[in-house]
Amino acid sequence: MSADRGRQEGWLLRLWLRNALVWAALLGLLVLSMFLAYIPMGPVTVTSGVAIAVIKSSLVLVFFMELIRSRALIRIAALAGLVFVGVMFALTLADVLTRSGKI
Amino acid sequence: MTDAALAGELPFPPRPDYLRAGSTLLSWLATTDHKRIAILYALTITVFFFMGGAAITAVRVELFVPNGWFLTSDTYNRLFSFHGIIMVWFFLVPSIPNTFGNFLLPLMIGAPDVAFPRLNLFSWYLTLVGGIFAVYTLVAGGVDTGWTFYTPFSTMFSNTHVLTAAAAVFVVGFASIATGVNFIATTHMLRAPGMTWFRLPMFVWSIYATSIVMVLSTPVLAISLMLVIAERWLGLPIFDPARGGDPILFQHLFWFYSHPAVYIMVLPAMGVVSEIIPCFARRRLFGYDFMVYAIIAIAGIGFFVWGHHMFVSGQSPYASLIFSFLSFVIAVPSAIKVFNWTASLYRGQISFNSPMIYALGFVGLFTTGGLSGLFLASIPVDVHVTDTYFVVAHFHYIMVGGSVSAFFGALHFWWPKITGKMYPESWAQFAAITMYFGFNMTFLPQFVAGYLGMPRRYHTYPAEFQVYNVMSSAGAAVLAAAYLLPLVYLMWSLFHGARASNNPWGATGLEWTTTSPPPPHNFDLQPLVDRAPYQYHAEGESAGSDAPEVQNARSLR
Repeated sequence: MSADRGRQEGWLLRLWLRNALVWAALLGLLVLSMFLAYIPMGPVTVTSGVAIAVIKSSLVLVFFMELIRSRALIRIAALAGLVFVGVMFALTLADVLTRSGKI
Repeated sequence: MTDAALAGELPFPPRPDYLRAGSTLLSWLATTDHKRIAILYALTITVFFFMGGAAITAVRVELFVPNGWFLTSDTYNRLFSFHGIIMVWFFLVPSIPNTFGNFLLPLMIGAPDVAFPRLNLFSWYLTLVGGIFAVYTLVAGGVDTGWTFYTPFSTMFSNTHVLTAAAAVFVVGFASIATGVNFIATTHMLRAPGMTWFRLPMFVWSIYATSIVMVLSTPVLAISLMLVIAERWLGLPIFDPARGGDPILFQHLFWFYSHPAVYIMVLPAMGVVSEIIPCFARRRLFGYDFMVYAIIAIAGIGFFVWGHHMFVSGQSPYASLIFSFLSFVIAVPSAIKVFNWTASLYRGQISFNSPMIYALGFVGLFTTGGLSGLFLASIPVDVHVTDTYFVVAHFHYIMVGGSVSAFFGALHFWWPKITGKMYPESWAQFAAITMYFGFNMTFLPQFVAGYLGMPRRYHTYPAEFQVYNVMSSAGAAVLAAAYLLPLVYLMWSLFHGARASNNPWGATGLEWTTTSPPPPHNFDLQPLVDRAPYQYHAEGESAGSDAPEVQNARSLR
């Protein structure tokens, strides 16, 4: 009984520790994106912002939403969300990148 | 489909149905029974329907004459905006999914409730909170952006209550998401033994597809409205071109939600019609598998076509070409459905009960709306009729002629199951036919007025358009009467209607195997499913080849 409780407490501690580390990483990336926004790097500024956003959302998906331990069906559902966000960006960019004077 | 009850078993002890399983106000306001929550939704959306209807009644009175005799231009703008916001988000989006979906989904798959009953109730409360914001907006003076909240007007120029209107839509959007998640989980997790995916009734498929669209698209609406609020109140440079923003970006985000939202409104209607037509034609649904594929295709492709709302916005012509092509593509699965409903009538024993009249009306009106949509998918035609009454007529044919007809069809089809009472059939048939003619009288002239160039959203117009507006306003009066009639005779039926049997239409489907009204947990015994839906006749034979007790099932009620 006490061994079970010990295992559970150990599991909870690891969970908290892992989430705290991910949270710290997210905050670190937030600070980094703010810092980079003030450095004049031309188009690289936007690119770096987007790259950091992708890393942050991946951390949320994999650890906070626990996709790393999910069944295939759940992962497919999450992937569907990603696909449709991709559709939204792709077709919006089909407009923005081809407006008069840009191609 | 069969219930597991075996002949010879002892009868169950008497137990109250879901309507009598508690009579206090708290038993309703704190219920987690999906059927009671469906009733709560039905009452809520009925109130909103008549509020939105009242607003547009004033608009139609104003348009009776060309010179704006009844309302100021500001009031007119606020009334059509209120009409749009209320009708789209507080009636059409929740109408069939949150009422009939809630009531029927667990019954149709043989489940005792939805997967997350408390979330279901929470979703209703969210709808109420959103509704309170919307009503406050009206009472405080209204909003004049139209239901579309287009920037830069909504962010920089409108001096009306954009914040509360956007908050109303934002909150009710979360109700949509919660309901969608609940229905997806219910369909995946709570199907009865033997209820395989391709034994699901089409209504379940349509609610499932709708839920996927709700979950994927509604967050984008929430984000769009948050960005409007962020620019309007926090001054962030998002859509203002003078500060590097892009006003057309708002339209992309808004229509990424709002075009799929059309399918949130019409897919459940398609599901309803797919239940009614086989029942009243005593035929199997023609091409069931393709009907399933078509509904999934519509839900998916619906996400790829939003740019056809933006052909004149300044969107690049290359993007317009892509969106035009994709918009034509979505007509294919829609056409499959129309052809299959029609083919389901072939060699059937058709009876024109009121649900069937609504369903056939749906097919005709949806087809007209869909075909006029092809005109609008064509860029040269769309440029000519953009922001005219042609567009107003087109989307009302889909959303009102289609979805509202199906809503009333569903109401009449499942009323005996929901309430345990029958309604006066002749009155119901009269209302259905009146609704069809009233609708066409209202909106058919708008195609002509729009094609001739009458713009939408103006409260005055050149005298040459008056004849079309008089016809529209007169038709709207007929339509209003047709909407009020069911309210009267259905209320009458609650007190004086004949008692309904468990299956008054002789329909297939698990919901008809339980009592009318059903018990709190739907079934006394766990249903077992051993066949596909819509088995109204033997495979490969016509309806007339059935055993007499099947053919005459409707007369046994």
